[in-house]
Amino acid sequence: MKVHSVFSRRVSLILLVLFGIIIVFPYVWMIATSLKSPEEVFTPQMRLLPRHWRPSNYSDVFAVGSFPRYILNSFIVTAAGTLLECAIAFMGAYALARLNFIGKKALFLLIIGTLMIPPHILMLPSYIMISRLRLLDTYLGLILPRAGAAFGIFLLRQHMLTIPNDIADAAEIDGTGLGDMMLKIYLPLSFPVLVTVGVFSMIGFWNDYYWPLIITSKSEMRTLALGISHFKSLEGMGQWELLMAAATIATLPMLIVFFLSRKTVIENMTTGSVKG
Amino acid sequence: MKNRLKNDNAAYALLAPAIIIAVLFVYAPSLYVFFLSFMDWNLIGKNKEFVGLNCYIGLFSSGSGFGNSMIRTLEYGAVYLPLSMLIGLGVALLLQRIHEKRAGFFQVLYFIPSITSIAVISIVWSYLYNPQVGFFNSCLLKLGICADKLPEYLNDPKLALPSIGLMGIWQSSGFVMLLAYTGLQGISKHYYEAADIDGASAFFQFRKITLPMLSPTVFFIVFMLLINSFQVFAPVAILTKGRPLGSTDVVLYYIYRYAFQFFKSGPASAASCVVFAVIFLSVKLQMRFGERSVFYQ
Repeated sequence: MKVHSVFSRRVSLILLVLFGIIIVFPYVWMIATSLKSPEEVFTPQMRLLPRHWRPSNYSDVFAVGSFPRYILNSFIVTAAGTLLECAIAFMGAYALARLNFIGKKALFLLIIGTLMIPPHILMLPSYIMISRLRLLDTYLGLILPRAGAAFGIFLLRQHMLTIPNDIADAAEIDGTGLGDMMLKIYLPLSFPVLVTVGVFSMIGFWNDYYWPLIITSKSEMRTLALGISHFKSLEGMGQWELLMAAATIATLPMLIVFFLSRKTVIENMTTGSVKG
Repeated sequence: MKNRLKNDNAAYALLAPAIIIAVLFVYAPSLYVFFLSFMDWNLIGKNKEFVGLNCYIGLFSSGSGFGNSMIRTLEYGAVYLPLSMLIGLGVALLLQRIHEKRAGFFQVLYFIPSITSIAVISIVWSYLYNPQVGFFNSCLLKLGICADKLPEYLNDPKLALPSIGLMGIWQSSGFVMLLAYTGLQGISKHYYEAADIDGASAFFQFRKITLPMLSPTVFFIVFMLLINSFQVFAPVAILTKGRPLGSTDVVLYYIYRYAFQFFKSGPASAASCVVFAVIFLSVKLQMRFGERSVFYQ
């Protein structure tokens, strides 16, 4: 480790704290506003903490539009989507890392190639595809197209290739079948990477705005991220405190997921994308 | 042989879901959008009429607004890419100077915007930007700057795109930092020790060791930011809808308008194909010129 002078370390720390404040400030402002009364929000007088705390904003926001339904939709789509994506990623990665078959390289490229095409560009043909499949305004339509798991397959495959073959060979001699090999040997050995894939999948499904916007037209099929962007109409009424309460509710679950998994996720994601 | 076949079938079965999704929702739509770009179709009727290159010609004729949206997108990228890069890299260099445990804490902190929905970020920032009760203008008011004419960030044709850019930089720099920091950690300390013994200055060490060793990471970050800068959509859809005066009408929003508001599949598809070609070419260019300056260990 290079030794930096105490002075330079202090200056660095101060700058980092300042940058940290810039990053965190919008969140602090969001939460503080979500607890203020309407009168207090509607003045240009700046005050961080509310004069009168109003946690009732949080119960009020549940009465706006189909807010509870948005939350339910987000939970359904995120939970089902994450499970599906993890399963698809694990199965695909296992085949690509462990099995030999004709067309392996081509199929690998076919899957990885999807990462090269920016999804937004396909908004119109994807919409048409979903409508032909009669999946508009359905959970399946919200989940399926986003569960292709190309990145997850890539990450898991890289990891599985580093697992020594001896373990599998020994198990094979003992007569372990494919299912047991995957679930009892490879699943535990690649669990941390699978968690990383799962967390990113979860964040992707929960936060996604663009896909639900394209394929839902009914209000009761909107997810939270899309739903609260429709709450923007509240802005005209100056109800920032309700909007911020909704925004806080939409932010917290992923924040918790990330804090619980931060070590595994940061480590595996950076090794996957930089060294991969 | 029989065993081999069984093995093959198992592999195909395991890969089937990923491949079906890839074909159904990526490759088929890609071909379809190319096909549609030569057709005149209003999305509702049955009839598609072949019009050759007319949709493409239409895009580049004056009054289509496509040229404007390409320029807006490039403007956004020209601000967003270098600033996200510089800030992320700078923060990563600072992080290296402090204790590793503390650095871990900051990493998590800076990463928070990357795990927040762009919809939420847009809404929170639209509050910060609000001309009457927003944080920025309250600050200006308190400081007595521009008190007679407070800026209307998202309603001002000059300020709207930079305001969205600032938000983008705020969101991305944490992710850039994380990648850059990982890259920095990968540089062996021996190089610096050897340079220290030879009496090389800190700046010299940065130029001759840090930069070349970090170049593959920088290359990857530029690639990622380049693609990102063509992908601005949600902030525009939520905050400005391409307004004011088309100043935030980035290409994806242009495509969205033509597809889902005007129901003109031809121009929307042709624009999609052009954007894809432009992204593809800029990545190719980056590879061509970037590779030369990248130093692999």
